[in-house]
Amino acid sequence: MAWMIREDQLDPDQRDFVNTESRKVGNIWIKGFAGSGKSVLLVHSLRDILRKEPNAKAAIIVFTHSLKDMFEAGLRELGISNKVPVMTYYEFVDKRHDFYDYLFCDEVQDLPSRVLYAMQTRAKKVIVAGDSNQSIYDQDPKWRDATVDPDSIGDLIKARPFMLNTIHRLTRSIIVAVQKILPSINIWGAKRDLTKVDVNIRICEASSTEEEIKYVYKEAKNGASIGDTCAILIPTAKLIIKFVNELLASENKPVWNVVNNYYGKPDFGKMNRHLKSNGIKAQYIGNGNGSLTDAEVNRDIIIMTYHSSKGLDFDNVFIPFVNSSLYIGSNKVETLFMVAMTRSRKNLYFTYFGYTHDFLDKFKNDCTEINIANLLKPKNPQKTVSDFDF
Amino acid sequence: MRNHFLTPVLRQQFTLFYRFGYTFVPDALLIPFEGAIQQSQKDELLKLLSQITPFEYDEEYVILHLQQEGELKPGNTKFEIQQLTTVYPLSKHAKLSISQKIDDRIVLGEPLFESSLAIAEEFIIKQECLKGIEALWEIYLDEATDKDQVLALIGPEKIFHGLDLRSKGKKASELEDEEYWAYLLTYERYDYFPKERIGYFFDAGQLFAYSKEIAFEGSKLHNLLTQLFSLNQKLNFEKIVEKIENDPLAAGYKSKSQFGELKLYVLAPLFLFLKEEIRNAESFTAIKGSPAFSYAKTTFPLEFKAAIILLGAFFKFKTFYDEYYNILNLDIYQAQPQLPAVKAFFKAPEIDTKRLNGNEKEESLINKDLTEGKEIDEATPTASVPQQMEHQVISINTATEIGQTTQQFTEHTISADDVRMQEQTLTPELEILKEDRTVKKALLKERGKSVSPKTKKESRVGKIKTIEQLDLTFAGSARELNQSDVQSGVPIIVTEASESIQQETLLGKEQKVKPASKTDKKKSEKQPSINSAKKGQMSKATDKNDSILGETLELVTVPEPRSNSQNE
Repeated sequence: MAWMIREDQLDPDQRDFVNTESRKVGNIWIKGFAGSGKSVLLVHSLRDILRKEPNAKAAIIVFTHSLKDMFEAGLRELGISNKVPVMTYYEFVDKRHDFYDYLFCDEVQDLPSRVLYAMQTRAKKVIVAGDSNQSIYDQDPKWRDATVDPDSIGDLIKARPFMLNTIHRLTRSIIVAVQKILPSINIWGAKRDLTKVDVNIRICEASSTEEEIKYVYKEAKNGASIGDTCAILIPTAKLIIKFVNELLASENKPVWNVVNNYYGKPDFGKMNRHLKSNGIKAQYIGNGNGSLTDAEVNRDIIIMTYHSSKGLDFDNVFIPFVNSSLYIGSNKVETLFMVAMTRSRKNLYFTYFGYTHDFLDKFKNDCTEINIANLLKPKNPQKTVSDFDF
Repeated sequence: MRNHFLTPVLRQQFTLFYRFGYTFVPDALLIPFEGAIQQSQKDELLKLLSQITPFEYDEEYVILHLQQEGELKPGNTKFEIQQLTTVYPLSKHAKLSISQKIDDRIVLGEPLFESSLAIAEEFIIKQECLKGIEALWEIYLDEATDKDQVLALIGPEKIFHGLDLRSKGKKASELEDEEYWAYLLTYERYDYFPKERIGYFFDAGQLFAYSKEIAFEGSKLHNLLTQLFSLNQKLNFEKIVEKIENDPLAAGYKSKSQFGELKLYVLAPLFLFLKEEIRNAESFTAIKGSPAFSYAKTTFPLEFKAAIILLGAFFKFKTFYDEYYNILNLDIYQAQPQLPAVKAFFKAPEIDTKRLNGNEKEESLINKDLTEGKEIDEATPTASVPQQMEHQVISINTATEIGQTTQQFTEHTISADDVRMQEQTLTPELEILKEDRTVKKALLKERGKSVSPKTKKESRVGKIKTIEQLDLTFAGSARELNQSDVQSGVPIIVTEASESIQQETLLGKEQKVKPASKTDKKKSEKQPSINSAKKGQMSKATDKNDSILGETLELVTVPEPRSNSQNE
């Protein structure tokens, strides 16, 4: 991520924020979709403040350790890492009790209310960033507090909202699809930037579940073999086990008999070892199992849940089982589905057997539709039609 | 009589208008209408949008509907916020975006154009493409004539068409009956081709197959490339090209992959490869010196030139301006000397306290000479200007492009009467420029130095022209200024090709000059001197290619400071 930004490189929203909004009195909530530049603006504001008030006491509060690493890298690049601590919200609430001049916070929609309350009472000015459309957690993993209701964030920290609408990370076809699933959100791409690879969305119909899984594995293996990152995203752990066993069966390998771990949950570490011992180039990543680096080095296909994929992206993403009976979750299903479908940089495959899921129906006319049965048929080179020797 | 006007303004200007309660709009930017907006006014607005500073996002401009009692006076018109009837965004999504950021009591109008806005945008995009080509060419290549030839060989319209298809979300696999360039510019790799160099030859084969509506997989070329890859994954471009040129399996492909002298079977993989290099880099600066570019330049000179044209258009000026400006070494990149405090020559009008206090007697605004404590009555400007004072006029290209260096400036001697007329019509912006020049003159005078050698060479002397003979165009106050000159019929000395302009040039004295050599001129074009910036003049295009609109604005330099006795 480029942390140094110049005014001529900003979109109008970002420019407004940097030049006007961030300098006004009062707390601010920067609202924006993933890829709208929220984090960069937070850091920019921080740097701006430290220029004017070198002795100001400031800190950044984040949700995860990976976000903490990301911000620390940014502060290092700007040469202000020694001035500003970056901490998780647990550290902020449980371990430190300092009062700050300025507090900055990213992914605010994932925090419990008590963190927001603590920020409001322990800082003169608070600038938070987040997106209510991306809230996929119901509670925090440690305290088990409910995450904040996005509608009340502004009231809790007495912040005025500032919207960032231009999405720089997603490409045209994905933005169009997201807008159709979540019509209430206002996002649009940087329309003049046509230099990115527009993600190719394929909707692939199979004549059986077995055929569907065979196709997904074949394509993902092709991608992984050339060094692309390939992820198969599945909404629930139960469905992941179903996918893995169908895959093993289609490859004529023994299925994995579910073994639970100490907590009574499926032991995915054992499942990964089973896959590896049977020569399946795939590993489950989540809950401490599997590794992104290991998968990349070994050119393994990554299998994970929609939840776990948040914040990551891959060259090729496969979303199987998207038929009318797909169970995505009990709530925030559109958001979860949107999180999964925005993970791809190049190819996005939806596969299904039977009738398409309602979500697919909303945008399938804009996509390439594929009949898997035709693709899996052996090709006959003689059928190449050419009026010259090609 | 109430008159209605439409005018495009930057959103920032609207924000300041709202904040301060008034703004100024030059008459050239005011489109009169009857109160109901017709298509003709929309067309005029679209035309205007192509003639003002370009914009990247729809929300950067808004259209204001302003009203005024009585006729417009020439020059800049002051509008109070009460005269603003409606604010029109440029598009629906601009409306949505702007409405989230402005006072929620403001009710935005419905966008005046949605699809037709594309006309203005298209103009900007084409300029971006052409300037992108110019910049990238300048970064890697020298011969400007070659650039035009190669661009003409491909055809700019074909490039624009391909990029237009891309902007509409078309992929190469979906195109039908298009020219090869459209396939090349819309193509992206969605297949799992090798990431090594040979992968770009697979890409070239795939897009060729799309263009002929035939299958690539299973073709002889596909087989050849697969064989080559299985034998050696690390084959370089030259080796693969050699195979394509000599292997019978590629004979059909090769024979159909020529475009004039251009070998498309070389150009396509080269373009796609360099495209990825640029795209994957954190910034263009990071890969500008990549060996890939120098290798391509020396190994495939013609195809490299064509690739530069395509890359420049594809990534546009936005990607390259940073590096391009380094090459141009813009004047504004130079450290400016610290300016000493000088007498303030131009003064802000003082508030007429008598009027504020309810005094009914009409009095002219009084300007106070802040430095000397003298009062100057603007109603009688003749008293403040020496009758025989010489003044200079510097030509400025109004379709200003960054990077244009000062190739010449013209000087005009005008009479004191003209100066008085000009002072009465000067806009605040020009006054600022005047003030700036006064400061710079004072600095030069203090240093007792002449202007830079470069400026000496670039200056031109001495034909006499009237203002009608000058290249006069463009909007606003400056035009008014020139019109007043025209009306006065004053002879103007236009200096050209000056040999050695002394420091006194800026002080209104005579000068001698020598014509510049071609080499000097080229050098100076690339490395504009700081002094040209100091002198306050801007570039004047020497030919049509130097400017977008080819328009020239006249800027009046300041007269000598008035003496106290004259003021009195």
